[in-house]
Amino acid sequence: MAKPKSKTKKTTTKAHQVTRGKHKIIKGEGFKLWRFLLKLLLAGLVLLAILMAYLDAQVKAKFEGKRWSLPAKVYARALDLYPGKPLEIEELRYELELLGYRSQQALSRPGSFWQSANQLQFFSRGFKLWNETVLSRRLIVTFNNRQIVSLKGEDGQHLSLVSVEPFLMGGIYPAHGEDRSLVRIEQVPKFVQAALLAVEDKDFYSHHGVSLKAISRALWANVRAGRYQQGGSTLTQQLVKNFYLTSDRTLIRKATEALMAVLLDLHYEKQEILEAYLNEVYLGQAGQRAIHGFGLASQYYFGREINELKLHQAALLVSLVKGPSYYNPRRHPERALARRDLVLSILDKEGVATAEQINWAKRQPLDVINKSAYTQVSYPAYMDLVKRQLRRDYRAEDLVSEGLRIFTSLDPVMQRQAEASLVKRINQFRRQDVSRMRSLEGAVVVTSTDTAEVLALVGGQDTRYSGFNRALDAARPVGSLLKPAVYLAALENPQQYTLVTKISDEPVVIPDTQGKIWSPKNSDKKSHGMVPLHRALAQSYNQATARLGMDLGLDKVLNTIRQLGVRRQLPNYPSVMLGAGGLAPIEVADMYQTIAAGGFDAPLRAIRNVTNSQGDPLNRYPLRLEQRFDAATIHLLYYALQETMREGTGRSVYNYVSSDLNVAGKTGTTDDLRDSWFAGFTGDRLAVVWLGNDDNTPTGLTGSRGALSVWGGLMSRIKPVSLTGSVPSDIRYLWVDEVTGTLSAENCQGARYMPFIKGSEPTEKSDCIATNRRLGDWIKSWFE
Amino acid sequence: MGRVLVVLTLLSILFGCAASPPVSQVPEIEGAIDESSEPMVLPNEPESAGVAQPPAKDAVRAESSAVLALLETADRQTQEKQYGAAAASLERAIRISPRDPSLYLALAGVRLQQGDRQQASQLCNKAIALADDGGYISYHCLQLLND
Repeated sequence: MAKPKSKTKKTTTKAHQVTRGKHKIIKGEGFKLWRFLLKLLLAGLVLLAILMAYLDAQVKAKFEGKRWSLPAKVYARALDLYPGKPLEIEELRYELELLGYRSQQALSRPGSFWQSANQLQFFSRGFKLWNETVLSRRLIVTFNNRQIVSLKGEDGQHLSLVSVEPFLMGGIYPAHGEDRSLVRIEQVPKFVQAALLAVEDKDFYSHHGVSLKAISRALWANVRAGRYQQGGSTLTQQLVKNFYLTSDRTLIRKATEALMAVLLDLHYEKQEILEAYLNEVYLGQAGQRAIHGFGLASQYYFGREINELKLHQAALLVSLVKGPSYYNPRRHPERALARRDLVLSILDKEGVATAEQINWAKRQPLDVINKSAYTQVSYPAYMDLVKRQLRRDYRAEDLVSEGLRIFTSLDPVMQRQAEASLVKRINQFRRQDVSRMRSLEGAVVVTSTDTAEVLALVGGQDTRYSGFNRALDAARPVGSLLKPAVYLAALENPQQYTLVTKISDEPVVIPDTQGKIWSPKNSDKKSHGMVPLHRALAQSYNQATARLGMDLGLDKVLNTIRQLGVRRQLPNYPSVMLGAGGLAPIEVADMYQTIAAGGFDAPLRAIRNVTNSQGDPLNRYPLRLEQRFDAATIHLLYYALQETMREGTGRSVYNYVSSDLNVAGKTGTTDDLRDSWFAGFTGDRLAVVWLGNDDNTPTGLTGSRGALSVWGGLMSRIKPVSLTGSVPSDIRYLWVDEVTGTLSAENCQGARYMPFIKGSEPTEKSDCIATNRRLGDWIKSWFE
Repeated sequence: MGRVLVVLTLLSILFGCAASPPVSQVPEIEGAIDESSEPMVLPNEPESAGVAQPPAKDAVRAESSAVLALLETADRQTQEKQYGAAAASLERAIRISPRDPSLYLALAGVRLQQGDRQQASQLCNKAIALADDGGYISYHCLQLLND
């Protein structure tokens, strides 16, 4: 350290010496102080520079990086509209109302529709699907006879295919967390921006992050009021506080906030800052989900997109910035209304809107939608399925943070019908037999037969309950639902078994590996002697099935069940053939899917594809097929399963559906009437229904009386396509006698027209053919 | 391969008319049975609702313009080598017309382009199973798989 220069100087008189010395000392100390201050200042500046650099890096890193953790959003299928589509005008209206469209004749903005007798016009919203951008435009859809007959754009141009944006059915949220629906500044109406700025930061476009004017104005207001009344924070400072800092009210934090606000303002355009603010700001609480940003708040409070907001609604959202809990319009409507009207007055003063518009807005009610419509997951059972399928391919943390968009195959119209069919019937049963069915439960799975997509899933009578999902988790004995596998195993060997092969329905006693005896009985407690194979299945004879299964071998039957798509390991004992093993409705659907799709196995799919938050494609779940059974063998099984519905245990279905509709299916009932099942399909839809008590007590319902009635109710509500199709080239239809299985003719009594795999046709002729021939010979002889 | 798809597109127009199921006209009978507020009675089980019959011939497809539009899109996407997108377009067409064999055949073509011979072969099997005239589709499948 350098020595002070004064010490080296000589002095003459003492006094002078003292005085001068004193002066010297003072001068020397002052200089020292200056130097010290200078150094301190320099050090301070360096520190400030370091701090600024640090803050600058922080500001940039977060603003330019991933700003927010975004929960994955799960969407229903996008409804395809095209001429010829079977759809009723009310179904399209239901879909649009679900999407928050409002009836408005002028169709002046996206999200509006107008219905006339057989025409529905609507102004669609834009949306980005996996590889298609849905345009926002006016459309005219004309209906006739339960189908779309014409689809036109507003210019009258005929369109062949248009998608409607998909319904957002829910999100995948962390246990506690923020949720937001990001908006771009261009999507936010100017008056919404202006309203926010008028109330929160008048000088936003002129200050540099902090506003001395605002601070002095706030200070003056607070001094005058004698208490803290208003803050002088700019919007930029508020953003910084929410975005980067804690909510402590310390001086250091305030200073840091101001510095960061200046830096933010220095680096970024005003519009970028405003956009970030609009997405960041906290505007409400939905259970454990924090509602952030104007985009999500518009949906949460008004059920509409931000670009569809009206002035009074925008004013309410702006009001909430000051205190979302205090001004919660659902909990404190008076406070919210007063605050909203105050905001509207400010907008009037600031010239954001005309006096006329302001007056109109003040006359409007709060307009807030019912909270349950938005906060509850719409389809919890289906969402459960989606989550399970997603967890195979995505990490849990990515699902709650990356803003993935999950597009599913859920059909809200189908889901609504499946829910209604189940709930209505369960309520009827509950009332009918209180002692056995007061807590009756059920589940429904609906799929598309050829694409293996799950269209609807109901997990219980309380369709909004997100707990126990019976459709996925209630593994219950399936009764006769496995019987088709036994008959399929037999028909795979056409040299040994055809539909008319006689099998014994006599009582049967089968010892199992533990030495116990299994002796199944028919439900009517009768034996039916030798019966044709098709009849044994259609009438669901247990004795005949058990005998047939044992003749084929249990391993063969279990292998057929696996081939049909049942992945669960079933116990290796004979009673499995009559459904002693437990399966969940979704597993039964997987099994019947293979039959309904003509012997092609395809894993059931709930997810079509996944995009990132910008809508760029990430992952697709394609249709993957594997032929497990020959088309001809499946064709024979179709015959028997249709016979089940026309003449056998499922015939009561025709109390619900038209006799023109061909359906195939199988009822299932378990011991003591504990479980009531039905699995069946039409040409395009497969549905599996289970009814039972959660505590496994008897319900008194057979498969036919219980589950089939739900199934029939569902099919009568939707528009299923009849089960038709091609006849495989190696199938031949012949008239056979239904008792003897011998060849017969159309005009013979008891003749049935039945399919056979070529080479397995009966060769023996019935008496009727012989008589016909004799008759023919006799007539022929007349002309000879 | 682009050419193959163009050909398939044309084929599908011809084929589509004979391969898709009709829209059934199910009368609204629910109200009479399920909507009743009366104490529920067991529905009368009909003795027989007719005898199981062989499948009827399918009717003309109404949704062909939508399917055709998607086939054209898939064709363009294939030519641009956007096979994933082409497959998505074809699956969308299959959702509209799930029993049209030519759509599965076209999808088999795309899968082959993606190197998934096994799926191509399975999709061909499906196309053959759905076709009334399996021989015609079989011929195209053989051509496709041997190409």
